[in-house]
Amino acid sequence: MGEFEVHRVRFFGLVPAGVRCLACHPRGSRLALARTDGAVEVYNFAANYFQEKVIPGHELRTVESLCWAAGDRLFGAGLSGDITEYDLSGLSAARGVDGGGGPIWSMVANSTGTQLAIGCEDGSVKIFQVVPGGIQFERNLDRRKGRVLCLSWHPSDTHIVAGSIDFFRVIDVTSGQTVQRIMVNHHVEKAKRECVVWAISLLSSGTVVSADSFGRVQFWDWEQGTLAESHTVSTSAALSLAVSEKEDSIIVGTSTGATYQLQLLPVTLGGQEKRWVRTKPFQFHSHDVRAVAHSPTALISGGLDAQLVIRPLMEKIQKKSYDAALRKFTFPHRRLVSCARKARLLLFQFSQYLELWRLGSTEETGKDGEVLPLCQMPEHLVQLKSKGPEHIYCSCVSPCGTWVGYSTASRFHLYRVHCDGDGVSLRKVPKVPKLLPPAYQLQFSADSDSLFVASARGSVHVFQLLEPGGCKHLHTLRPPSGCSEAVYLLAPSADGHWLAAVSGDWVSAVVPSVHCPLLQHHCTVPTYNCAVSALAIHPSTNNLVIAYSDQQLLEFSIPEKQYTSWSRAVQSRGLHRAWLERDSPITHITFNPKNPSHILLHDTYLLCVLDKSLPLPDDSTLLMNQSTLKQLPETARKRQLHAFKICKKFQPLLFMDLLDENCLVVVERPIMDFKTQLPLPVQQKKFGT
Amino acid sequence: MARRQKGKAAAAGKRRAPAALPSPASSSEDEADEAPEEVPFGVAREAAEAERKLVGEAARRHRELLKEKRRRHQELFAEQKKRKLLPEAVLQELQELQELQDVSARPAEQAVADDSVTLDEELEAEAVQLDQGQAESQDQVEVQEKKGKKSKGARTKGNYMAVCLKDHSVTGLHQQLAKDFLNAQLYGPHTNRVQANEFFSLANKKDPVKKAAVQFVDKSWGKDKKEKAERFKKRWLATQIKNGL
Repeated sequence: MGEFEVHRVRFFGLVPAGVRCLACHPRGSRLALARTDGAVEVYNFAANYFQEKVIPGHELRTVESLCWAAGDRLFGAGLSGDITEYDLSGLSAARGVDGGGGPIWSMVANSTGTQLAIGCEDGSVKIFQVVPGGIQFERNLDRRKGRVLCLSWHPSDTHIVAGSIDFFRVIDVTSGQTVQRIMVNHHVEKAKRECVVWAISLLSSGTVVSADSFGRVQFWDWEQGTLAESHTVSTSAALSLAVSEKEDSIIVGTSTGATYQLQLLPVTLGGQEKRWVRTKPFQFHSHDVRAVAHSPTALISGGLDAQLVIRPLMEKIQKKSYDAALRKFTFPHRRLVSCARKARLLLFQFSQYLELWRLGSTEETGKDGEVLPLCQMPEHLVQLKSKGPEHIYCSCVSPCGTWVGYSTASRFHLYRVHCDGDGVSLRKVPKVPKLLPPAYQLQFSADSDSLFVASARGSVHVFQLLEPGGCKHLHTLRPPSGCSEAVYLLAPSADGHWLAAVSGDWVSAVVPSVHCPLLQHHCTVPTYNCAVSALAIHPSTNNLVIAYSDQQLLEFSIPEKQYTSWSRAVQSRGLHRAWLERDSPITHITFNPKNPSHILLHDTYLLCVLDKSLPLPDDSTLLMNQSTLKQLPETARKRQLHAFKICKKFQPLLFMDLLDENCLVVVERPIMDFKTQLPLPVQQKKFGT
Repeated sequence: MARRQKGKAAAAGKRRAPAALPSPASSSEDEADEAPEEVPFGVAREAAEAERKLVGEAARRHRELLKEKRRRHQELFAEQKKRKLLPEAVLQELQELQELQDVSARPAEQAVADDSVTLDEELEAEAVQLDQGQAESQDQVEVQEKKGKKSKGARTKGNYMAVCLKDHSVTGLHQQLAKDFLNAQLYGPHTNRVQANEFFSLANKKDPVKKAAVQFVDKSWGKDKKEKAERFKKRWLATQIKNGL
C-alpha cells in the first residue's frame, strides 16, 4: 500500500439533523425523507439506496409531514402553516400556499393522489386539490376543538380519520360531517395526563389503528365505536405508525428508539379468524423514532439520532443476495469537506456556516501505527457564517487556498482569503454575477484560475478569477440535448482542458473547459442504470474514473472516447463480491501524481488504494488482505498481492485526500462524538447499573 | 261595636302594608293599662322582609342606573375613537402599498447590505483570530463590535428595545405555541428522559471489561481558567520574542 503519514482529523464537528418524516413513493422505489432542520432528501432504492437528491433546509421551515401526490410531485407541510411543493429537478422548495389554519401538523394524499388533506392547529381538516400548476383550496371539513395531529384517508377515499388529543374522529368526506367521535382515554383509570394520538391509520376493513402517548397501539371499530384490540408495545410514547399496502403488517416507532412489527396472523393454522400479533421487536435507534414507512419488502425507520434504517423482510425477499441485508445510513452521500492541497487547508461545510482550518505538522518519523507528536497544532482560521436564513448548498476552496466559494438557494458568494503571517483575513468578492438559479456544485480549476459553477438543466457556467479579487463570467457550457436536471458533480482535469459533469438524470458528459465555438461538447459517457457517486480525471493520462452507487468502477479515456482496456478487464472479470456488498457509496476519488497507476478512493468505512498494475482479485481470495500480507515473507507476499489495498482503520470516514507523495489526510467523525449533542434519549433501566 | 271593629280592621289593614306594627294608639284608646298587644312572629318577619325587599329594590335600581351611565359613556368613547381612525378601505389600501414597497425594497436592501458586508466580514475574521490570542482581545472585540454597530446606523439609547413587528406576528405566536406543545409532550416531566452521558455509559458499565463513562471528563470544567492561561502564554511568548530581539 505504501507508507503514508496520515493526518487524522477529528475536529469536524458535524451534527447531522434527525429524521422527522418519511414518505414512500406509492409506485416506484423512491423514498422522500425530511430532517428536523428542514432539509429534504430523496433516496433511490433501485440505485442501491443512493441519496440522489438533497434540498437544503431553511431556518424558518420545519417539515412536519411529507407526501407524494399526482405521480412524482412531492409536497411538504410544517408548523409555519404553509404547504410547499418541492421542485425535484430544480432542487428547491418551489411554491408555497398558506393552509389558512395555523401550523399544519399532518398532511396526507388520497389514494389517487389528486387531493391533499391537511390537519391544522385550530382543529380543522382542509381539502386541497392538486392541479398542474400547484394546489388549490377545495373545502373545509367539519371543525372541532383540539389540534389535529394525524390524518388518514380510507383506501376508497370515502372517509378521513383525524387523531387529536384524547380523542379521534371519523369524517365523511362527501358531506364533510363528523360521523363518529371516539374517546381514546376512556379505559385508563385516573388518567393524570392527556393521551395524545400521535399516529393513526384507517384500514379498508373499517378498522382504525391508533398509536398514542401511553405506548399503546389500539384497533377500533369506528362504526360501532368499540375497541377491538389493544397492544401496549412500550412504556414510553408510540410516535409513528405505517401500514403495508396489503394491510397485513404494521410498523410502530416508539420514543425509546425501538420499532415493532405487528402482523395480522390466523389464530389457528389454516383458520379463517385473524388477529393482530406483535411479532418482531427491533432496537436500531438510540433516540426517538419519529418516522416510519412500510415498503412492499422492507421496514424503514428514521430516528432523531439521524439514522435511516432499512430492514428488509425476509419472507418478501425472493433470492438470497445483498438485498436482504440491513442498511443503516447516518452520513450524507456527498462530500462536505474540500481540501486545498498545496496550502494544507480544509474547508468544512455545515448547514449555516463554513469553517476553514489549517492542518498541523510534525517533524518526526516513525514506524507503522505510531502516533507522531505535532510541532504545530491544527488551527481554526475562519468561521464564515452564511447570510440569510437559507442553508448552504455547496462550498469549495481552491487548490491554492486563496479562494472560498459557497452557494445557498438564492445567492452565490465568493471570498478571497489572505493568510499573512499570523492573521487571516477574508474579503468578499464584489459584483459576483447573479445567477438564476444559483450553484448546485462549485469546483475550482486545478490552477485556481477559473471557477466552474454547476447550474440547472445540465449547464455549467465558467467564471474567470481575477487578481486581486474579482470574477468575470466567461461562458456557459451547455450539455448534450435532452438534459433536464441540474448538474450535481463536477470534475475538472489537471491540465485545464476538460471538465466532466454529471446531471441528475445520470448523464455524464465531458466538455472542453476552454471556450471553443467548434467543439461545444466533446462526448458523453454511455448511460448506466445507476447514479454516479463520484468521478475524477487522472492528471496525466486524462482518464475519467467513475464510481457508481452500486459500487461499480469504470474508467473512460477522454482522448479516445471509449472505455480503457483496464476497465474492460474489470467488467469482464467482475468486481469482488465483498467490494460489491458494501453499504456506502464512494464519495471521493483522487490520484497520486507520482504514481500514475494508483487510484485512491474512500467510502464511509474504508479507504482503498487501487493499483492498476497488479492483478485483480477473484471471489475466492480475500479482499481485505492487508493484515495477512504484512505477516507473510516477501516471496509469498508477491504471489498474493492484488489490486485492492484496503485500510479499515479510520471509520467513519467523511473525507480522504492525498496531500503530497506520502501524506494523507482523513477526516473522521466518530458517532459517539455527536450523539451526546443530540436531544435527550429516554432512560433505559438495566439490571445492575 | 261593629263600626269600631271595622275601623280597627281597616286601620290594621292599612298599617300592615308598610310595617304591621300594632299601633299603640288604637289599643290605648280602648284599654290603656292592658298589656301591649302580642304581635305574632310571622307578622313581624313578614314586615321585616318587606322592608328589606324595598331597600334591595332601591339599591338595584341605583346600580342599574350607574351601569346604564357607564355603558353610555363607553359607547360614546368607542364612537369617538372610530371617528378618529381613517375609514377601513383607506387603511387596507395603505397596507397593500406598504407591502409592495417592502417587497421591492428588500432586494435593494439586500444588495446594499451585501456590499457593505466586507467590513463586517473582516471584523468577524479578525474577531475570531483575536479570540485565540492576546490580552487586549476583550477590549478590541468590544471596540470592533461598537464600530460594527455604528456602521449599521442603529441608534440604541435608553432602556427600550425596538422589535420588528413581523417577528411577533400572530403566525409566529401560533408556531411558538405548537412548538411548546411538542416539547412538553416529548420532553416534559413525565417522559423519563435522561442525560446523554448516563444513557451511553450503560454499555461501558455492562461490558465484560468495564470502561469509563462516555463523558468522563467534562470539557467545560475550568473553561475560563484554561482560556486565561492560554492568553497569558501567548502574551508571555510575545514579550519574550520582543525582548529577545
